[in-house]
Amino acid sequence: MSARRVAVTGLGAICALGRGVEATWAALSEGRSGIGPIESVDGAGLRFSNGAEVRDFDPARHLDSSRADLLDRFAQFALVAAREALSDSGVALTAELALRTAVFTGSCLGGQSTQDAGFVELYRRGRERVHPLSIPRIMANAGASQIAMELGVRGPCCTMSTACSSANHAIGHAFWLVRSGVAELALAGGSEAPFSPGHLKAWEALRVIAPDTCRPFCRDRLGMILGEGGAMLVLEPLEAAQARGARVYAEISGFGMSADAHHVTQPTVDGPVRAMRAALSDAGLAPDQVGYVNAHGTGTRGNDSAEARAIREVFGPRRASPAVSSTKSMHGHALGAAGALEAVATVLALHTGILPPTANFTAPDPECDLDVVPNEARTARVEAALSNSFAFGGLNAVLAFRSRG
Amino acid sequence: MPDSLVETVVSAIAEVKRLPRERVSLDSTFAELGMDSLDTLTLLFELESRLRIAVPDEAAKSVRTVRDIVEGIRGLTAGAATSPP
Repeated sequence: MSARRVAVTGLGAICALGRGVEATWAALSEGRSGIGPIESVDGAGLRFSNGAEVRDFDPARHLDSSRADLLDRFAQFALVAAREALSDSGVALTAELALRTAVFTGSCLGGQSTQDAGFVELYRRGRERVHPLSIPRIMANAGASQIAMELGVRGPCCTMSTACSSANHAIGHAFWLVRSGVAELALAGGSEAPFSPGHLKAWEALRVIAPDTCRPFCRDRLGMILGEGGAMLVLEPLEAAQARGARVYAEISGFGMSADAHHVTQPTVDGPVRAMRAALSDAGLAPDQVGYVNAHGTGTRGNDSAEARAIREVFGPRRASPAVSSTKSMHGHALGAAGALEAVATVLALHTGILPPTANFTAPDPECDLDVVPNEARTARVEAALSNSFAFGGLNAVLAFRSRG
Repeated sequence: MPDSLVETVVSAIAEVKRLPRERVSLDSTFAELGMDSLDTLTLLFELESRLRIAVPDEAAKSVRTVRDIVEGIRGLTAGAATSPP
């Protein structure tokens, strides 16, 4: 049986750039950053003060109160993005289709803010108990489970937790299920809500957060900026999408994974190279067909120079290399949601012919010799694109997409 | 006073890396001691607690030797002594 082609027919997103895909894409395509002073957590005593938070998110507008009580912020983001993506796709989720529909979510941290708040009660306020719904809020699969319960999805559902690669691993595996015929439809993506005092302290201790903003591939980069949010994609066989007259944003055509087997935080060049090559091979793409790479591009010294070397190794000398941008410069590093937000950016870049830029760019770094689309979006019809995610722990996941244009 | 700072740094490194103290000297580089970036983070975390100091991220990125740490801490504490309350 030959593998099926898989279409992306629905998108949902919520992040610092906006509540919904339209607002998110408007900011991405205008090079507008959502990074600003952290407001949801008292940052007194923190060595950094900026983040990319979802502003003005009122759970009561999306969930009735008993439901909202059961969902940590990260799961709320997953559910809101999934609803938008399904509605955007126009798919009628019949009882029969629901049995063959998959939900794959990525989350690095699960409901850590619920856990943090519970610990404050126990250890600081001297209370003797925590909220009875803490466990179902904290579990990392809460997003996938809540999506399945609300939409009545009854096929393969699970959550991948591979730090910053979580969403790419989730989307990639869901893509493979649809391509192979195990699933007829998939909702895939990720969500994260990392802003709690205890969690921010843990990042502070790692000394990788920039005191100013996120400047990927830039000479003046000082580290990453944490972000939050969620994004989901609807994946279905291209034939089915065409049969129902659906809008196809792009095809998802390849997925590649690798492990560095090296160091828990220091990246390698070899691991990302092998993941990008695996994604190209899985997609049946030659490197010169790829016109855009949405980079992992965290803005740390270590990631960006290693990733730049890896991209140049895969694509050859600079003149032959694709445009590369890191949209983390705008939506921040949303950890387990990062790959999902970036997949939305990549799919819309292919669909609209507008490549989102690397924002906050000041001056090039010779260590990152790439065409990084500095500060301003670029109009360019490209045939195919990659979206990179490389996790702490050395776990790499790369998605390949093809334009329908 | 300076000697006790060297002593504090050396013993912290010996503990973090589980090395005999005599292996660690003021002239040791982190590379010679087998210290990677995470060991350096752990060392700075220990020293911040023991000496009640705060090492800024930018200063933390540039330390490569035991001497870098000792001189960096001297600079920090001297700065603290002369800055207004």
